[in-house]
Amino acid sequence: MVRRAALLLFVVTACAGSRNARPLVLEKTAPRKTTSLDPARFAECSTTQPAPALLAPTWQSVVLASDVKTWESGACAPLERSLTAFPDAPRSRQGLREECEAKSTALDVSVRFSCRAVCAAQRWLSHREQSRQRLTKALEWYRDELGTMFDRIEACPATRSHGNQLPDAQVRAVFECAGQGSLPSEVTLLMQYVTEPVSWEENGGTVTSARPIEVQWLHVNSVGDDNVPWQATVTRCRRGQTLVPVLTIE
Amino acid sequence: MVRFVIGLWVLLASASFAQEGRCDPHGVDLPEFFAPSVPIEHELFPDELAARGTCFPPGRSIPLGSDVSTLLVNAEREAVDACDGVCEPMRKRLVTLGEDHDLEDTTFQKECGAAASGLPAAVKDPCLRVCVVERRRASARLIFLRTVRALDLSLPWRKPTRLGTEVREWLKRERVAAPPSPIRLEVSGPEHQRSVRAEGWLYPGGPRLRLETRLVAAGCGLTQWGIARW
Repeated sequence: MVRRAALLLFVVTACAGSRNARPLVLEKTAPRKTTSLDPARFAECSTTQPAPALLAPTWQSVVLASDVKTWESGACAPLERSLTAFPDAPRSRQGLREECEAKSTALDVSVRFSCRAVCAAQRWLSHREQSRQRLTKALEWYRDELGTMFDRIEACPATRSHGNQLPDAQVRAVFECAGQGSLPSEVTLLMQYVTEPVSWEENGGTVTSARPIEVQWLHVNSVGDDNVPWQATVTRCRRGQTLVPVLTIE
Repeated sequence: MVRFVIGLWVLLASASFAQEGRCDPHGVDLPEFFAPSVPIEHELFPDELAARGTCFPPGRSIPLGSDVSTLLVNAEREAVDACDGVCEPMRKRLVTLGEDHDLEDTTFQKECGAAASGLPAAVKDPCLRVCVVERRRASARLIFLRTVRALDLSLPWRKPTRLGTEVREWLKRERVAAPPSPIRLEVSGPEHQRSVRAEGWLYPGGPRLRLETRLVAAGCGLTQWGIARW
């Protein structure tokens, strides 16, 4: 009986072992993560210089000249005081406008429309600037930690399984795994890996594929509000034979 | 026999011609204008939209060509549409944005103020705002095309006369309407290869414009001076 049980245990273990053996074979035949990247895959640093940032429009330029005068007279102060603090305020441009509209109804009709217009312009531009700063801070962190991102992605439960690109939700998960908080919703993120060819034996044949070996670039584009011309990229650039992490924001 | 030789020669000549024409440089196209994708609902409040009414886009103009002047004429036509709201009498009083129209925002505000002055008090303010927003959005295409035309005229192969460092002064001398002041025009490079760069907002809070003259890929490994986004 003991012999039979021992034999059964041996067979079960052997079967389980052979089931797990396939990825092990893959691990042995596939090249491991390359630590030295081919600089030829990256652009010259001189070509990745960020374009000078365009000055953001002022709220005064968005509204009418008469609106500016009304605001400067102090007639809109009650509206200004009644607004929700930004962390709790709606995030969309439309949501911010709705709040301005709802709260301006308490004002005298002679100043209501001007105050409402200034409120909407100010809130939109301030919120946009705040989101831009938040995003810049997160991307600067990403740039500084670029050398560790491959391992961070592998370690994050939401991104342990991935293809050669990480879509928006997975990139956000990486930032959250690293304790960087949530990123502004007005942008969409996309990350791409550097890959190298890999092949292994399976079912008596050779299977070839591409395998991520290092992060290549992270792109950020504005969505939902095309008047916000956000475009940012974190990648490496080539300076001689050295690769340098670089962040460009437009 | 003679017929056979002639036939063979024609065949060989056409084959050689086809081989020579395999790579046809595509040249450099003018940059395309992308209409503001932000809906007007993000720029007007509900009561203003109600005063504007339902609007009907203008009939599609016949594309007469792809040169800048034709594009400008078409853009002026397309800037006009019709709505059925209470602001319509004001809209009818407005002059169509044309070739020499001043596209400065302060001018739009003055024009709209004058056009809205005859309206009932209750709708004057919303209609004034409708007018300014519509004027801004309609002018975006004209501003873009005026900028393209200014850059096109400054291309080195056009050998522009006395293009110094002041593009606006030069456009004035050439009697060409310049884009409005929020569009910055800067010149760089040596005199025989002057490059002009334009940058700004198509309207306050609106889409960004970034164009420049430079050597652009024209196909078949060739480059040619043209206008490109940067």
